[in-house]
Amino acid sequence: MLNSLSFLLALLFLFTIKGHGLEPSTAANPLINISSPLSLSIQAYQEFLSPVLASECYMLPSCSEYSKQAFSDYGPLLGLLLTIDRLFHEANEDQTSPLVRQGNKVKLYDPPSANVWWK
Amino acid sequence: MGEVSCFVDRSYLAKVGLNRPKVLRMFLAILRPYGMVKVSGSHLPLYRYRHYRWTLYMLRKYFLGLLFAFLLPSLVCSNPAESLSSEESQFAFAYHLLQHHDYSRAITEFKRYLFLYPSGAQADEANYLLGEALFQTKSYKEAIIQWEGVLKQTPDTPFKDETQFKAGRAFWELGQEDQAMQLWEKILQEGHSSLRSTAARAVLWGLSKQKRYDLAREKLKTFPLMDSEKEAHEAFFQKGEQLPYKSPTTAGALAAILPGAGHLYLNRQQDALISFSLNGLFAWAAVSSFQQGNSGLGVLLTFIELAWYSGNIYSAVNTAHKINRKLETDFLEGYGVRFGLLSSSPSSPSLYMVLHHAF
Repeated sequence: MLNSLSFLLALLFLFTIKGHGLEPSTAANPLINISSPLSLSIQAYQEFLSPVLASECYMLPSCSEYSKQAFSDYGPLLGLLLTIDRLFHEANEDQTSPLVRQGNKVKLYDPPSANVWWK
Repeated sequence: MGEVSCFVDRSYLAKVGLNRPKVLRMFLAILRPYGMVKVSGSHLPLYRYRHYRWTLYMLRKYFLGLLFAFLLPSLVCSNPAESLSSEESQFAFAYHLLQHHDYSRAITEFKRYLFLYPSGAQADEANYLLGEALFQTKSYKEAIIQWEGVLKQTPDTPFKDETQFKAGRAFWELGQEDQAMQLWEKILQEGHSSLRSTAARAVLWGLSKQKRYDLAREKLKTFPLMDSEKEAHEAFFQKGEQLPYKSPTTAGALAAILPGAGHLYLNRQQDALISFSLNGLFAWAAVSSFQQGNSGLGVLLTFIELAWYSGNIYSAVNTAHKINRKLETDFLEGYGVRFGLLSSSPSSPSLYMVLHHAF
């Protein structure tokens, strides 16, 4: 029990820590950024899964991009909270976030900085 | 004509080591073999057999002198920039750049104008507009330094009220709201232009933003505004005091007691449903895993559930803050637009404060 608990703690830490593993090599291969497993999973979602999904995110930035920005700007703990908060609040976000135009589409502008009230 | 006037200018000839007799001798020497110079009523004899050699010799001898005497003055006098560098043209060009939102170049051109014509006819306006161009590039500190310098050096500038008002705007942008309002109140006490009413409205709007409604009411009594307008301000004060704020603490506490309840308190039913469903699903899955003896999966699911639960509380508190911010922004925008302090900008989706009289 204790072993599995410590393993899961380490796993959670590894998944959320910023800059874990190899240095980002975006210059060599801009499609793959393996700075952390979480970044890799978000990148994989954006590259392979998102293009084949029928629905398009009506928020700007999209949830995956928002998550990347949140982890990058605010670290693992707050980044995780911000990501979960985004998943919860996007359904009724038209009540609070402003509309912006992206190309010929109108989206709700909701960057991570708009969800950190004490800064 | 410019070449001739430069050519005969003695001071210029002296500078290049020439004088008038010397230049005349050079002319005569060059033209002598062609029989084109008449001295004492008769032509000089022609040196036909030495014609070319003589010409080359003279050209070589006086080449540099001729160059200085003719070419350089003509270059100096025919400078095409001279017609553009007049005082009015310089100011007009700088103003044109400012009007066409080319602020960084306008800054340079206003500085050029003030350097070339420090006491020019439009120096006061140029000083004021230089600050305006700095303000537009969001260089608020530099704009304040510029405007404060203007007020110090020329306290009786005809742009005093405008300068004070805009300096207040720059302070406002820097978050120094009290200093901004002090400057606006100074216009009310000392100013003479129609900006006094605008300054009064700006002070009232600023106090409303700070939620200092009692002070705003006191000042409203003394401000030079029409009674009907005072009533309209009072209506906005009452509206501002009664904004239906949501309590972030209550939202967070409700979310902690029952996931989704915080969002329900904030009238966000769909958010509440998602939060309740996800938290319920993972809590049930974790408990089931432990009950079935699968403690590894149970711990994993508990961790994930803890993340959902924390996120649910964070989301409720954050949403309450966002709703309150939106309420305040909408109220202040409505107030500002009503009294001409705010206007829609074509280049920005948000509203911004403008001063119609100043620019």
